[in-house]
Amino acid sequence: MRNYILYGFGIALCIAGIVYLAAEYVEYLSEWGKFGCLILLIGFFALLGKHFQALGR
Amino acid sequence: MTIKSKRNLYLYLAIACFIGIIVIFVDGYLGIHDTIYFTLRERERTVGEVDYSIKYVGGDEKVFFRYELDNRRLLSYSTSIQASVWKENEKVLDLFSQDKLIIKPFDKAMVEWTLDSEELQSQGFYAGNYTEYTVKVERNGVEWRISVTYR
Repeated sequence: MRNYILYGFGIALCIAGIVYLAAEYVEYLSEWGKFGCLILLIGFFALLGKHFQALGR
Repeated sequence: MTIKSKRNLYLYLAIACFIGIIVIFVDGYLGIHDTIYFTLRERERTVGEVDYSIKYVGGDEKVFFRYELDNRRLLSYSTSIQASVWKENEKVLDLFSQDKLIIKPFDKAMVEWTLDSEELQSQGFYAGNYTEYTVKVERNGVEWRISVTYR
């Protein structure tokens, strides 16, 4: 149970960090940089989902 | 591959994606960033792109420019800056020139100049009736072109 709380806390911090970066610094990114971020963000959430799916088995 | 190692692989790949996002942001933030602001009729606006247009400046109005250079590198940055007015590919007027501007790491520099229609007219150039001039701002390899139309 404690592990799940720590995981949840870590994920919330990661998402908060990404939201902060996006709000403050997205204007400095090139179009390719924005596209790369989008792909990595999709990968990030998909892989986290797969991780928790495997954890629940 | 066991379930546990597969589970960890997903987690490591997710962490790699997160680090990739951070790296892209850091790469975008670092470097030399320049911004041009202009004030016309008491309103300051940002020149949003290297090819920009300022429309319908009055014949008796002045346009105040502010050029901000941001050095987000670990090294000092040295550059020359020139701002001039051009008409049909010929230089009409020098607005600002500095040969060596040195900016310390993670510091900013700001220069200002004014486009005065009276100065243009004193050089024999008409500023009115939809005449168009180009303000070119140059620094080491970067050129901004701001088209100014007089009404």
